[in-house]
Amino acid sequence: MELFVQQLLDGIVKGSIYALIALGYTMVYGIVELINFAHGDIFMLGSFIALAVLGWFGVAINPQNQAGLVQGGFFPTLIIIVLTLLIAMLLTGIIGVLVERIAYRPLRNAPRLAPLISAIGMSFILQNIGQIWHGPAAVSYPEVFPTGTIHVTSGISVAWKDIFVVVVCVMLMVILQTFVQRTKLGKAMRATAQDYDTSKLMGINVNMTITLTFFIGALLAGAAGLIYGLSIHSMQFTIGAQAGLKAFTAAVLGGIGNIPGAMLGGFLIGIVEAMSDQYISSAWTPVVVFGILILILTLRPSGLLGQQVPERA
Amino acid sequence: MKVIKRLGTLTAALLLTSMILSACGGTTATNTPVPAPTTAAVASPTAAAAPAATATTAAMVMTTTISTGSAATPTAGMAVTGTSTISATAIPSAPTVVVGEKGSKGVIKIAVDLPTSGADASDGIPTRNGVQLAIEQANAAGEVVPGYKLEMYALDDAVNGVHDPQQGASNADQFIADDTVVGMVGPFNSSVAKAEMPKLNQANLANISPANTNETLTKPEYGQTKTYRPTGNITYFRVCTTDDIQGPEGADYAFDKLKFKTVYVLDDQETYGQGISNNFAKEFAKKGGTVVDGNSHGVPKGTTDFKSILDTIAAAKPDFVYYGGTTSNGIGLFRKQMKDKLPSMVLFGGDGIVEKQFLDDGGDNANGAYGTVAAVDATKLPEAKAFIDAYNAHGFKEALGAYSANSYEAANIIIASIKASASKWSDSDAAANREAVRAAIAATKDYHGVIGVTGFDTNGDTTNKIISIYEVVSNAWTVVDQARFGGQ
Repeated sequence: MELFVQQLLDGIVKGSIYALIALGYTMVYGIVELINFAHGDIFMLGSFIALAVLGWFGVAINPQNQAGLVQGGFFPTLIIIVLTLLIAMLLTGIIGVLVERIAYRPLRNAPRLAPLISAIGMSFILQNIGQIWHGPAAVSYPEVFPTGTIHVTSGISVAWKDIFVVVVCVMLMVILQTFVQRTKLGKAMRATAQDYDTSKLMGINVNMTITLTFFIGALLAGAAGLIYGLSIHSMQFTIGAQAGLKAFTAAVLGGIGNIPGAMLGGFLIGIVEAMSDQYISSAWTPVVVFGILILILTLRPSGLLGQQVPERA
Repeated sequence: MKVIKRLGTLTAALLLTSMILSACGGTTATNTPVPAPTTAAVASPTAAAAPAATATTAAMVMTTTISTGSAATPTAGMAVTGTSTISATAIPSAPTVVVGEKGSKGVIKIAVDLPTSGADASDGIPTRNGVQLAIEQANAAGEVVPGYKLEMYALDDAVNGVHDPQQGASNADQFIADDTVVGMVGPFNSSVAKAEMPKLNQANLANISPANTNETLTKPEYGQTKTYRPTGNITYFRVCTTDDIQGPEGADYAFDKLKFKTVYVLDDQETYGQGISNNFAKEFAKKGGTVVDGNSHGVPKGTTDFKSILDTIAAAKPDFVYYGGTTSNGIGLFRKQMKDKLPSMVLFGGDGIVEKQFLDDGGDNANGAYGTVAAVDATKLPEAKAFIDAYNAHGFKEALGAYSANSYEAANIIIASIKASASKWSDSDAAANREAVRAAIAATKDYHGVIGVTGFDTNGDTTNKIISIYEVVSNAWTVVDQARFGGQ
């Protein structure tokens, strides 16, 4: 039982990162019905950007010297992390906007397949930028949080960084949900998602709204990048595509286009992975995860929570 | 919309099939050697002295061509030609490195196929340096065959920083197509060897691997030699010994010397990883130890978050963890994350983890890990002193690796075989030259070199069987034991 609870907690930690990435897929799909295959790579670049920002703040990123990175105690560390998070999110958001401008906007009225292909092309371009920047080998991430774990009971423990991961992810999700549901811009996003042409007639700046959607999706990917780095301690230019695929599965599981669905899907995928590692076999975990993707696509294509967007005929 | 759903289903179905295949490989490989994607490998920075950056051979003609691009991530190709030193490798690209001199009639090329970029570069480059040194020394001593001097023709088999069997096979094609290539040193990884061996065998081009340890490549009792040597001729040789010796020796050391009784075994689902893990587990159980669940547990390639696997291990309460596989498949990260869940547990591995990338990825937590290497630690051998001195004096950027001496030896055996064939050397008949070199290598019985006395048995395996055991002390691989099996 303790083991089950432990795996559940670890699954939630894993899942919260998937959920953050999945939000980017689902928001973009909701508004332009495009699967942004470059999103996983935006996450990867976000992680590299965050690493660079940590470097500016004087955090040692030398792999051989990873202990005791931030001098000055708890609060300076916290401030550095929060600032890094904000700066990395902003810079990654700008990359998301650029991607939209370069690869998708010129194809706004082209057949559906064209932006899908330019998305795949964009994904390769971003991967290669990552490879040229940091080389093909994995890059070590500094250890900023106190190591060790908090023992809840003898068999259940939680690491400090895991708490950080879940807290930041949940906070960002709450902010996003409030933004989409309560603000004027959020309303514009929802309207554009429902009907592009009518929204235009109603005076909504549709292009700006779409740009904003990409910006927010990439913001979250940037946050996920930093969180992933601090919790896994490594980033490689190929990780974006892998994590992106799992996040995409999460988005489909929850119902692509549906924001709470992506959050639910992310947590579920994380938990399924942990349970499969424990009760089936780690060798079969990818089979289980992508088996779910197939089952959902064939049996319930609208996902667990359904699509919020009516299909455009 | 429908199209997208169908595309999605199709992609997912393909993914699933491939993963089921790899997972099946993981579960069935327990007793029998199974054909699956693989790997073998390693090189370790031993307690070698830092290269005294001095003499760089000035009289040498060096051309470095750097071509970028791979199947998975097409990059803008660029070619840089010019004079440069070989040790200056461009990290994000797959370098073709050519080093050598021209004789009056031309050159004889020795091909080198090793992973020299990304996470595998810390294995590949020190190994390639051994070949370069051998060729430079041979050229300095005069023409190997009247009218001819030697040239090293090195290609990189890593794609995206990880050794890649397909890239290896395409490199082999390039070597075969070049009539002046008479022998090859490499590859580093058993999975790459599987892809290259049938091609090289049909072209009758001999290769000597410095580091392949998977036993199914050469030994007929595993039933795969028909695939790897279709012509029946022995064209594949190796100067390191095999995993059916390396795995059990690791188990003996853990059981007898470290006094461990229970082990949790993991592998990276590649040929090398599964093979060595199964060999290890069998021997450990035979000695009376307990293998949790009775078999090895596959870890999918590309796994970066090991939390739940570590929970499972923690619940099984083993004395230590054994990992069969290469660092480039993620074990350094596993070692690092062990700090959170299993702070004091020992990690034991094969030659795939005994290299610098493991130390980088593992950070402080790399300390206390053990690894076996299927080669002699050259720093312990009096015969190797001249080689080590020459290596250090050359000014290579990379310190001596665990397989540098092996590749030096492999290159020297090829060079000796070329010399032995000098009397019947043909200016036009490439096939005859290749056959002469191959036959001379196969006839090698007691070659006194830097790693001891090497000979090849009827399968092309070395008779010089040595396993070294290393431990990470103060973030450096340090040799702690050495064992010799049979032969000389």
